Amino acid sequence: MTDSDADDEKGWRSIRRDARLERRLLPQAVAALALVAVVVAIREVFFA
Amino acid sequence: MSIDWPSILDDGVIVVLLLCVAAGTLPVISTAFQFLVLPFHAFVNHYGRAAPYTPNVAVIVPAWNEGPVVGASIDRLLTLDYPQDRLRIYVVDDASTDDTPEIVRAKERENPGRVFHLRREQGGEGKAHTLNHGISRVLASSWAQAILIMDADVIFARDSVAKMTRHLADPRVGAVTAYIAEGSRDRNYLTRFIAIEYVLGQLAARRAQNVLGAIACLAGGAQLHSRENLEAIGGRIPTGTLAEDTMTTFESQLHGRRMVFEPHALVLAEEPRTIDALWKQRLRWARGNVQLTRHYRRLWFRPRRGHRLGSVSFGLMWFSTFLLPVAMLLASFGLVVLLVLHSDLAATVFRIMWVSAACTYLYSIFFALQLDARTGRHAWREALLFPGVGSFVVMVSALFPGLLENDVPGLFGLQLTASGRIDWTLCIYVWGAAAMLGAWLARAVEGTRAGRVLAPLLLYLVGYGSLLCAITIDSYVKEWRKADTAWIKTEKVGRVVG
Repeated sequence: MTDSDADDEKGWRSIRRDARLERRLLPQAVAALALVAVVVAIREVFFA
Repeated sequence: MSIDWPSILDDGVIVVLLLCVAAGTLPVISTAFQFLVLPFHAFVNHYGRAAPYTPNVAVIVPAWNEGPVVGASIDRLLTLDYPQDRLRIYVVDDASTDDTPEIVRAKERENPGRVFHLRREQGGEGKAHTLNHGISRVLASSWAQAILIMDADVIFARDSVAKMTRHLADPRVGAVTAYIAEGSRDRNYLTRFIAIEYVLGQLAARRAQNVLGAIACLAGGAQLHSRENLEAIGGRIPTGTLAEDTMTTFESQLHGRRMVFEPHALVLAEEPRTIDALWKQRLRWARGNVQLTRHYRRLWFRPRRGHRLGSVSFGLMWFSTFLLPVAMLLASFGLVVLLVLHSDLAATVFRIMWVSAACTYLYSIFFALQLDARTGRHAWREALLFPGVGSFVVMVSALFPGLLENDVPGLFGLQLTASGRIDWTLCIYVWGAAAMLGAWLARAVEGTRAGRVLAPLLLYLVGYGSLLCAITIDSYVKEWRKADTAWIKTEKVGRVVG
């Protein structure tokens, strides 16, 4: 494997890793929405 | 049949007042929209078209009296995880009067063929002119395939340039910007607020803009252009505006090229530590935005082929920021007059407006804290208090009716009187507008002996957003009066963690 091939492989790994990290946005959004749902539920139960 | 004019007039007034309050909810709707679009970046992103690509990059560093920071910035550029024979650094010294020329010349001697010192004997015309001096030199030779424009104080993470260039493998992409994070080693309350602002405004909002296909601004501290893109917009950064980076971003998109925000390319920057310094920096940005709003007046809300700047979603995002203080004033006005005319209706619209604001705040702040855990760890208090203690109280009041008016006083055997209830209602209705006054006051007292304690307390009370709104109002006034547009540089002293 040449230096250039190694650099390319490193570059592809980095792209795949960052693309994978982006998929964390979905559970993060769900967690944030869940917090809102809990607060709204408290409002509806205790302050409606 | 007679027409009941008084009733029609009454209904007309009510509709106008409701529209005023609705205007106040537009920024909330815009924020909620952006944060709901944000998770789609998990799939709608540019990684599928990125590829390992390391073009010849000419880095242009504008420098005016940057002695304390420019040496460290050059050193970091020289140790980036990027093929060093494909990176050249051009420091454009804008007639500095400190030791900037000596520092850069020393680096030039140590790194022949990699660091270049370009001196402007007549300086002080602003950043765009300084950059153009460097760009004209770089474009005169065929070596550079990409041009990275940065600020003299920023520190690039070692892999950040390679993470940016990989998007230029797609020829449709004209420019790429990075995540500029607040990076001071000795943080204070203001830099922590700014850190949260950058998470919201970059990691969240620019990802949403990636999804929607229109970027509002390539950060001036880290914008990588393909050579073709810079040549297409005339081979120079537009001058004549205080927001040269935003105008460059717009021009690039109007020429049909795509802009990409790369959230994993980290660049650390030093940000203002006093309200006064922040005010001057942001006033420049806000005045630039006023100028651009006027300059591109035929662009807004007119969808065209080739770019998405005219889309309704982009227009909503742009104007909800640009007109945020107007929206807050209109909402407070509408609520107070409705309170006098129809208090029940006022209570209903207040609840709708602030419950939606509270839900958006909870969702966006909790999301933001997850986007950048490092910033979240050291600035979680500023994240929670980003809208200010006052707005926090208003949101609690809207979310949990009776809690603050009845339940909490009741714990101490107290009860609000009828007039006290009206005073309380009035206070929470006008809070959005009054908070901007509080932000202005925070700046006014900052320089006094008591200001060291009072200014932070006031800012925590009124919130960081109110400070930005107050600055935006100042920008309207300064532009209307055609005040002096001299470039006021933000002082940088080298506080960024390397």
